[in-house]
Amino acid sequence: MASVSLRSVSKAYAGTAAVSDVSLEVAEGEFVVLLGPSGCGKTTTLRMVAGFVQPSAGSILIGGDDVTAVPPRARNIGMVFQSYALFPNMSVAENIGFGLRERRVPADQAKRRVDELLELVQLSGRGGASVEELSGGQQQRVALARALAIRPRLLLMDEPLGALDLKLRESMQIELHRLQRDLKITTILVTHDQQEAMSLADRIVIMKDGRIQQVGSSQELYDRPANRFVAEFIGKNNLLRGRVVDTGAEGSAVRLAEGGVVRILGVVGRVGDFVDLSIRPESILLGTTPLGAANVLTGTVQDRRFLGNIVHYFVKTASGGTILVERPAVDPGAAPGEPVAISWEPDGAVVFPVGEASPGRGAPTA
Amino acid sequence: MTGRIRWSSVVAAATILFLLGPFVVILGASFDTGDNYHVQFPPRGFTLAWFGQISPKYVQAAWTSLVVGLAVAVLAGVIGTAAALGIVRSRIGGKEAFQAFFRLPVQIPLVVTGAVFLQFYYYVSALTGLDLLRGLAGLILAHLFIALPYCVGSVSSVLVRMNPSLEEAAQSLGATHWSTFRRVTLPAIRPGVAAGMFYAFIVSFGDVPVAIFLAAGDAATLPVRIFQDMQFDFQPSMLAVSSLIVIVSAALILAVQRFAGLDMVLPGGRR
Repeated sequence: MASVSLRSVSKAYAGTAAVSDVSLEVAEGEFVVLLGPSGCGKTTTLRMVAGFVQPSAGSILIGGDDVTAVPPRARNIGMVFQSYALFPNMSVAENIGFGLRERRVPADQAKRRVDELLELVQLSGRGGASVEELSGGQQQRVALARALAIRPRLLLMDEPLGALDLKLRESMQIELHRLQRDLKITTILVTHDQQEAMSLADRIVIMKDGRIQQVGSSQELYDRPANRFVAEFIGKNNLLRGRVVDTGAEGSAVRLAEGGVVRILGVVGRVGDFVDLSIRPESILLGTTPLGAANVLTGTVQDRRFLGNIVHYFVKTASGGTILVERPAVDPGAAPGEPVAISWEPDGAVVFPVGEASPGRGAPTA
Repeated sequence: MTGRIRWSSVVAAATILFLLGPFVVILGASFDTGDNYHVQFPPRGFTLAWFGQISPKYVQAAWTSLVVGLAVAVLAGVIGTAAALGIVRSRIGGKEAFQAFFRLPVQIPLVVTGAVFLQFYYYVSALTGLDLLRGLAGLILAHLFIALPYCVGSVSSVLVRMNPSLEEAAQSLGATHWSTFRRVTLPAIRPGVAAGMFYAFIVSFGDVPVAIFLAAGDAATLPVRIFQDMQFDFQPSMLAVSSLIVIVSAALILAVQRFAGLDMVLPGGRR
């Protein structure tokens, strides 16, 4: 097992930056997930760690050794590809044993290791099968076993569960998590699925346009997003635009484009500045009469979606914006068409300054 | 709707008949009992006599064709694979130009190719004293020229469809470039290589216009021999030779179909 350091790593293709100045420390045994929309540079970053892409600038260290100029085959990294990339001309056991054979491991030793891994990924007895006979989930396990067989210093996974259906993906997430814990292997995984990232990662690295936006645990990212992008990318979120009207020791006041003046914690900018309030749907209370939280807006329930343990309300405000409110199903709530008051505490909103942008209208984002 | 289906069936049947007709005539006529100086179909009897009367010079010519064809297939397989790897994998610009360049030999009329190679060999001979027209080297070289595009094409087409992660997976597992090629790339592109080699063999084996310039006299290939005899000295035994070629070709196609998949060879194939 080894730590990984990326030091000001950049990659440009024909003048276009795919990855810009990425610095990241991954501790020994840590599970780090690179998360972001497609084209954010997460896969390029992973492929630079693997050695398939040469950085335009910066250096990459594995276990303290600078490997920037080391070819992939000498990096001792286990890699799981999105397509699994199993060798179709080889059996399951031959696939798993590929790296051992390349390393000239004696046949009996290699066989023992392959059996060990077949057991680890719960495919004992399937060693002789052709990889094409296997289901998607089983192929995924073989790809993982093949990567682990060589006892790599580091495990890299590029959207490893992307091709599986939802049920299988969830059970594989649990298995992957358990495996990583047991083996204590340093792991970097790339995904665009925030739920997957949150359920697997010790730390999540959020990327956009080739740059790291924020690094932190799932909870840190959810509770304290560093910017508007992170707030919108992780979980559901309401973004309300407003203008600072008062700053004081116990907080500031913001006049919302939705109408009404609300209190926020701390001081963001100066009076007259535009700000965005990011409010989680579950931080908002909803009732036919105001429910006591400090900030209150009024509106009408436009739509109500019952989702089992929770209910989503889409509330249309006086100025025409829509706010998403998530309440437990046991709450009395309100029916579509009913006028309601929605309210939240000042600490329920994360505030981001807005540059010179014009005031916009708040809208729920998925 | 039904009218259209019936119409297309008629066209299909007519096409099959059109493709099959000449073979049926040749095969049938080769069993004819008469001693004609023209093709007799339908045959008036059945005899295998003509097969017994095949001249040894045809056996000699068949052997020449086989040696040339196999040499061309092997060389085209090796060179074509290397060229396809270079074209498909290279990151340099002008890839299209290279691809067009490798298609060039197909676009030159074979008679011109034959004449050009003949002139070229004269030139080489005058310059260096090396006579490529003696022996089979010159013919093999010229056939390689016309067969190579097929090999480059068929290998390229499987190569571009190959999952690039396969080679990366091999490398991440510690494989060298050579080991990656031998254990991962080659097995993946084998159908393309086999198809290309098969095509190279067929192109060489069936060629008259080039070989007629370069393989005269005792070194004549089978089709050149048939072509010359057809002009000057028709014998019913030539139909027997032709029948044998048809039968061997059919067997060869079935074999390739079995081991490599014919879709790889013929245009409009799978995937």
